[in-house]
Amino acid sequence: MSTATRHLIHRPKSALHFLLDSRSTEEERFALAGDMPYDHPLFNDGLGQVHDSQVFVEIARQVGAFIGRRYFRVPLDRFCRFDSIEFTLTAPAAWRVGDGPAHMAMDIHAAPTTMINGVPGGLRLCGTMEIDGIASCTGHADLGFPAPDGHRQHRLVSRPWAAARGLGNRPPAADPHTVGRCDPRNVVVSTPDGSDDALCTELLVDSGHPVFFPGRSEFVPGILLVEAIRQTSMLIAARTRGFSALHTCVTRASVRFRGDAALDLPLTCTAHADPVGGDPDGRPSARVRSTIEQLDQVVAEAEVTLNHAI
Amino acid sequence: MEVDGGTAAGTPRAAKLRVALSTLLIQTNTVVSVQALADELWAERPPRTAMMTLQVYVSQLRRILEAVDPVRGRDSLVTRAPGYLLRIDPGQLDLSVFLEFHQRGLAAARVGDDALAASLQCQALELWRGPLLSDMPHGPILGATAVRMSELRLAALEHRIRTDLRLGRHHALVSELRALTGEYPLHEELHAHLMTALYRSGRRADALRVFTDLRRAMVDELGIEPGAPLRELHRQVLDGDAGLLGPAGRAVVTGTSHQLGAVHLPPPIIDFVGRDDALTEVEAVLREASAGRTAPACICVHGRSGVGKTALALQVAHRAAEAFPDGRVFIDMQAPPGRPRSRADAFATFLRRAGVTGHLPTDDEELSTAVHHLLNRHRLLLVLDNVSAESQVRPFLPATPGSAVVVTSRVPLTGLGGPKPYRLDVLAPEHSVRLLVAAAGADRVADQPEAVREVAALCGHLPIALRIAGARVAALPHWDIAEFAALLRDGKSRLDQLRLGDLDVRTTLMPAYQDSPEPVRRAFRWLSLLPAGEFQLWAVAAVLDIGPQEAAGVVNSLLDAQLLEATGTGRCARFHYQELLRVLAKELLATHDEPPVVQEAFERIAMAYLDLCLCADHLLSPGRSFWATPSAAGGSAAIVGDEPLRWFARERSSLIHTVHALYRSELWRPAWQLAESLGSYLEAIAAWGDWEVTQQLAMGAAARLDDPTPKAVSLSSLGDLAWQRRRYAEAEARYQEAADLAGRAGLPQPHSRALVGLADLQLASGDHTRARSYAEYALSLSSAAEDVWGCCNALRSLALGHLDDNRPNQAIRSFMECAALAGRVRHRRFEGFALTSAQRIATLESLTSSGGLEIQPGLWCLRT
Repeated sequence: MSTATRHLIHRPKSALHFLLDSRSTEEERFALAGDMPYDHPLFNDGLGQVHDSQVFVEIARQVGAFIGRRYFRVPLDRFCRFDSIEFTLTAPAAWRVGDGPAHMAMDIHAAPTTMINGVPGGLRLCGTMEIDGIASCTGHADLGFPAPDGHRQHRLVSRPWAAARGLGNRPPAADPHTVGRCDPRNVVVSTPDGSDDALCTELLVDSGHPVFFPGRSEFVPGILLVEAIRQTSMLIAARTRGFSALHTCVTRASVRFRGDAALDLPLTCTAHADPVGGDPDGRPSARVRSTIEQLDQVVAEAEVTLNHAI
Repeated sequence: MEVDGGTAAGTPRAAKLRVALSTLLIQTNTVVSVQALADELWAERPPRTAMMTLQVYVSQLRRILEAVDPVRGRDSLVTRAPGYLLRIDPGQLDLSVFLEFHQRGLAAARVGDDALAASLQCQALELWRGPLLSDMPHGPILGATAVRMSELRLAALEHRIRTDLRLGRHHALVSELRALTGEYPLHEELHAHLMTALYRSGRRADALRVFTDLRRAMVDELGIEPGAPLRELHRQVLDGDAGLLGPAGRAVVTGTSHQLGAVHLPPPIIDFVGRDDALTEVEAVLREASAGRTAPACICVHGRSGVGKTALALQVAHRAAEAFPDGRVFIDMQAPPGRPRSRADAFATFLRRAGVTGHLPTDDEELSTAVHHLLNRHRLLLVLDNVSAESQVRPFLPATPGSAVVVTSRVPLTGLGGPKPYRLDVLAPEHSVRLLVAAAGADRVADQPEAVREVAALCGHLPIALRIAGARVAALPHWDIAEFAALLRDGKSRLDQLRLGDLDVRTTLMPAYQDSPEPVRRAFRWLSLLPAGEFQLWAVAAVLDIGPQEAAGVVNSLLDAQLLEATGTGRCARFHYQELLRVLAKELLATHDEPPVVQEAFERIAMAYLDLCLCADHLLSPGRSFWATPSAAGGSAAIVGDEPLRWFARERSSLIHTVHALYRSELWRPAWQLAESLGSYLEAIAAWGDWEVTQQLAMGAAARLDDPTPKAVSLSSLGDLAWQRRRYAEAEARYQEAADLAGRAGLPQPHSRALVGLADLQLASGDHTRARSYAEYALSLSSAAEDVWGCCNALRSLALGHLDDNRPNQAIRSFMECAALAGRVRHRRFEGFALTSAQRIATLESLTSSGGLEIQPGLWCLRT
């Protein structure tokens, strides 16, 4: 897998930041610069006509975790998770892939949401992203930094359940082209079940995936859940609203994470699609609402807008 | 009891002394016998040393009186058989003054002058601060006096209430009488007044309930019925007797008649929007004023022309019918327009509009008396619009509670006393948009919210401009508001566009300018040379070529004339034009001042900005701008302060504006210097857009200078910009060109900087050997040139090269060397960065443990 490098520049308000290397308790601003992925195993796994909006999710996670630790002194033993993420493609045309590599830049505001003993329990990140100088996406993410033992109870419950259910009953994966991917390894949902009104997939979690699992994790990462929501939305839009997955993009997403998803328990994603409408430029669009559940508990709820052929 | 003597307060604290002094005071100018004093002090049990003690008291009292009045105080207490005599001017004793006011009030009532009677009784009652002599023990004299005076106070109160009722102030009396009847629950006359006030206020049921409650209390406590007058009043209330309503109207001047309830107001503004805070505040003041709790009963609304003072005053007046049932009158105090209305004309206009008919006197004094009769007897609201001086308002100030005056004026009328003048500013942006939409017609602008917001901003959110703009859009159906916005964008013709019929923004704004003396007018014009936005006193001084104190005086004059706005106070004070005043100032500058003089003024301000920018740059990044040093004078450092980032943040747009202006003026070297010194700040905060624009101007200016240094420096700056944005190919081209140029010209500092840029690019591509080679060469050049900043920069790059090459000890050594050099030139940012980086390596904290490597101060390289 190739690595991409980005420059993150802190925009200091006073000299204190660089004199004392101090912990901030208020909003800090940053600039991010780099290239849009061009040979990434996930973000460039599609027909290659448009950049993957999952880039925004990945940047929010990576930059948010870094800023939290470096500028707000979140301890290293706390992992970073999404509490929510929302983004809108403000200039969908800017997401079309051009002839050469595209530059991206982002204006980022980060502010602690709660402070416990001087350490933020969470951060809110707001960002506006440019692709080749065009403001193309705006959004925000709430990141949580729970204490290391914050999930113990969940695991005590889940282990016996997993043992009773047994492992290895993995359902067949969806066809990559039906979910906007080419590489079968990037398919994270099963073939769907359901009617015209609702469609259900089971999530396929591969803890060896280099993008979804860059390191060891006890829980299903947020970016994988967002990808599962995206893929399930593609499936229902194709099946019930006539969209073609390879020409369809997510132009808006709002995801709320209600709990952590254990790796060893089944996860399902249920989606409902609204009737097809049109965006301001006249392209067909559809809104899909979906819910990811595990052990009858809601893990994530989402509302996604898909646009055909941006 | 209080003894007040100007600077010396001499109220005795000892009880006996207070008794002795009080006994003498209530019998002022009369001999009080020793025996009477002794009885008052000790009653029937005087001590054996009573006489001697009394002499001591008298001696102490003389000292107190002397302290209060060093000239006559001691002699005012004289020994005269058979005791002592205190000589006090009656006007010095509240008790005497009270009696005087009370008696005069009774006399005025006897001749039918109820307004004067009420006023005098009011003044008498205001002297009371609590029960008389309650702060000391009473002997026979003091006890009897306290009872007598308490009765007299109640009598004065009753007289005042009676006259107030005759003057028709029954609404205002109700709450006071409620309190009084609570204090005197069996006082029949007070209850009778309350019943009458309630009856006249249309509250018959409440009036009857007052009688019922009193009757019950009297029967329960005294076993008697209310007296015959009260029973008769009860019957009248039951019968709805019209005679109880009091006199319907009375003539204010012989030969005239007056009809109550006249309303002479222009119609309210239909599209009045916002101003909730102003309405709340002005109406609260009026409520206080009409209840007699503030004096004078007047509120001044001030603000620049066209801001909506008249609209606000009218809105207040139209909403005040209940509080001022006897009439509401509006008078424009400029008639004919531009000239103050004469005093006699203002009086006569008021009387006519307030409902006085018949033949009015021509004498000023008689008219004034008539005006006061009207205002003091009734509950009237008077709006005096376009007032230019306090003297126009004073004759209309009511002397008694009930009436009130709302004044509008361009300048604050602080000489009236009473509530602080209310300053009305332009509309808040959201209200401004609402007004514009209302004026243009919602259907005309519904689908163009951006253009509406832009027009509102171009109008400076000034109501008159918004109304004209809206009306023009509404009047021309083939136009849309976006086209109108485009017309307004051109400052040179904006005021021409804001004219419709007899409404003209330019004409509205001009008087404030025309009424000012020439030095203030010139300052108004010349300050428009400053970049748009806020500025400080130093900028005023620079433009006008004057000292700071003189600049402060000029600014105060501009503020007084409402030609300038201020925010903050003291050293933090900043000033700005209202949007349209700035347009007017520029227009006047172009027509009134000679271009060479204007150019000189511009150059003064540009040079002042350059000097400050160099100073701030030097504080933020010492040594980076090796090609210039800030002036040695301490003025710039004091203005910038010790937080250059904050100074740059405040002045950023002004500095950028000045770079453009210098470039346009073809002042190439200052343009280049300003852009370059500003660059260190724009780089620190990654303000890529502004950095690129100013750097391109710097490059353009450098190209016109016969000097390779500016060009080499600017090429490296453009390289830095591209590198920070990770546009490596562009960065390499810029650095290479800079290195070649500087190398050819033998310029070690720019050469070193370009080489470090190339080294950083090699680090990014993973070629740490070449990176180290560039950095070492750069270090040697900077060392030879004694360029400390260049050495720091080269050592930073070298350290990162060592680190990439897995040579942590060398990396630490380079960082420590970098920190030491940075400390020597007080480059705190570089010093902190280098020390932290060395520490991270030394403590084995993985530089990439959190996914990032700090490669320049505040700049992190993140790998995914």
